[in-house]
Amino acid sequence: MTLAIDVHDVQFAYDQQTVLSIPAWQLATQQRCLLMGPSGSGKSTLLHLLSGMSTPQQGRIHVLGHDLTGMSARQRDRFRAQHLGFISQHLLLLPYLTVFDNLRISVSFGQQRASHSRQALRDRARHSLQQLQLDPLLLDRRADQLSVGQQQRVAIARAFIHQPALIIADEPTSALDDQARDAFLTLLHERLQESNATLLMVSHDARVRPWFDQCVPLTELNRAAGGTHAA
Amino acid sequence: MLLNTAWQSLRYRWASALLTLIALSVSCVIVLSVQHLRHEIRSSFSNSVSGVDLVVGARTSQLNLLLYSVFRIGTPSNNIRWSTVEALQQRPEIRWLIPISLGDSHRGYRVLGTTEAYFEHFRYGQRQPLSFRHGQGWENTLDVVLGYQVAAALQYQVGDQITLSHGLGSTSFSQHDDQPFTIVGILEPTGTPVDQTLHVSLAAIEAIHVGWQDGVRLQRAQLNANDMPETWLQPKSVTAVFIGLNSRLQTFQLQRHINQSTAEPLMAIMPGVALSELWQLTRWMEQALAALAVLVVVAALIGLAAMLLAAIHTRQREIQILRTLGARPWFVVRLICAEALLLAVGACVLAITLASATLYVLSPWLLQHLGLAISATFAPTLLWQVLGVTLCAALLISLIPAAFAYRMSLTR
Repeated sequence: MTLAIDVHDVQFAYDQQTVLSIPAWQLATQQRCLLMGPSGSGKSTLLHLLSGMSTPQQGRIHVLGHDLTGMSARQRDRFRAQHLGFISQHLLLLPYLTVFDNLRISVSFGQQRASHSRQALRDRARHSLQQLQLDPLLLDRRADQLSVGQQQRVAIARAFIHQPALIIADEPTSALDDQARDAFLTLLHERLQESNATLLMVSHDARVRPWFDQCVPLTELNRAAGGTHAA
Repeated sequence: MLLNTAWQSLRYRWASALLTLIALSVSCVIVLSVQHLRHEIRSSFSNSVSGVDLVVGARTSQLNLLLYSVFRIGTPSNNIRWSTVEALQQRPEIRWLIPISLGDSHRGYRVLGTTEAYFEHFRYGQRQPLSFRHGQGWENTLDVVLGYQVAAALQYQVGDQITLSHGLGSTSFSQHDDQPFTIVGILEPTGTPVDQTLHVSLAAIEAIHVGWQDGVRLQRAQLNANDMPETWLQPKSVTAVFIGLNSRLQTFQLQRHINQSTAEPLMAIMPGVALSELWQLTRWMEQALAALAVLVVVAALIGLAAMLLAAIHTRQREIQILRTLGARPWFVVRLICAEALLLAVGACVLAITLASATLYVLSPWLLQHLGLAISATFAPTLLWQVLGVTLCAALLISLIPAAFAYRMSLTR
């Protein structure tokens, strides 16, 4: 079984205070893993490390078989653009771009040159909107004219548009009511089923547990003594 | 993708973007106009006289002599005796000589008494000779050739009869109404004071002043000028003389000779030298204007940076989104700079259009009322300069908000 995530002896300090200390953690591909933990337990720090937006002071991080800790910042940005899909409650769409341009700009960061024809990309975008039960006519609508629910589904479409192998979801359901949360997770899992991607989702909401193969409490993972708000 | 994103981002902030755009274009219009007018006024002045090696007149300042003889600005201080002109004409170094006599007018336009040599040797612009649009030169004593603008403004045609006024000003009480002139020719436009001038022969100047003394008419002339005896029409004095030499090397020598003449207090000037004296006088004003224009641009650019910087703080989330999608911090920097550049390009295009339209409307008026030939099209080098400097400055100043965005895009 190949590993989607392989963390070894990672230390990350901020302002000389160790925020994250993970001796070892592995996640197999195609797993759906829920990372639980109260806010302040180092969740966003871990996600930044796994997506290559920051690097640990110590230790090794392999994601999808690539050694992030051995890459330059530029390589990590490209890696993220090509292989990771990001979903976050707070980071939805760029409000001033159309839905299609929101999808397109995401694809463009992973490409050396624009290799897809615009039409092929449009077809793909239309298809993924339909899969998420969105009207394909929304493609040319500006993102800020969509309802929050619609924006959220477009954000799922964007996370999958470049066929990433790992989806990282940061508290995507924290602001949703039960019904909306279930609808969101259903759509997310349908898309995962189809793409064979691995899911790592961070949440503090225990009610989403049944949707996942495994649940990892971050407090177990993280040995940093001073987890400032450790529960 | 980058440009499209920058463009959509500006459209999203259309109100502040539009205000910034307007501020920038107004400042560009000011710079363009100041530079253009400066250049055009200079060339308008230097185009007014071409190929004249020396201007000779009564002793005064060289600027004054130049202004009244070539540009018809101000009043002549004193005249030159005709015998002196004849003596000059005999000198071997002189190729041609154009005497001019000023002092009369027609409805605000100056009358210039001269000889056939004027049409033959006078040059303007890049040594272009005068040419007739309608009609031809004088045949009779009371024939007049109009500058283009005089004919156009007063709607005169060849064959019309006009009377001249004594002295300057459009409402002179002393009319030379006993000697009506016939328009025999109209010159092509030159963009110089020639366009504002009525040209008559020196003989005609003498003829209309028969019976006058010290600017007052003592008795009406009994004869039509065309019938007056030759001796009556012999000029007694002229205002100034334009001289062309066989060799430019002789200019200084002849100039010294004339300046040292003891027979009559004369003065010879080189038009180019006198003009540069004029530019010396006006230079500080030009520089002050240019400095003001630059300051206005700087203010507008600071406004641009402030607008982008204010936006950065509300765009923190947008920057985070871009980063999680895999955008490099460098992309964020380029996005901010692209927005500044788009605004600057837009401002330049708007400014050039506005300034061109204004000039197009204004330049006929300037020509008619001030005699300034201001071209309605900008010199390409000026356009490139304004475009280049504005874009470079916008790019430079956008590095300030871009630096903030860059810092924001680095995680922690």
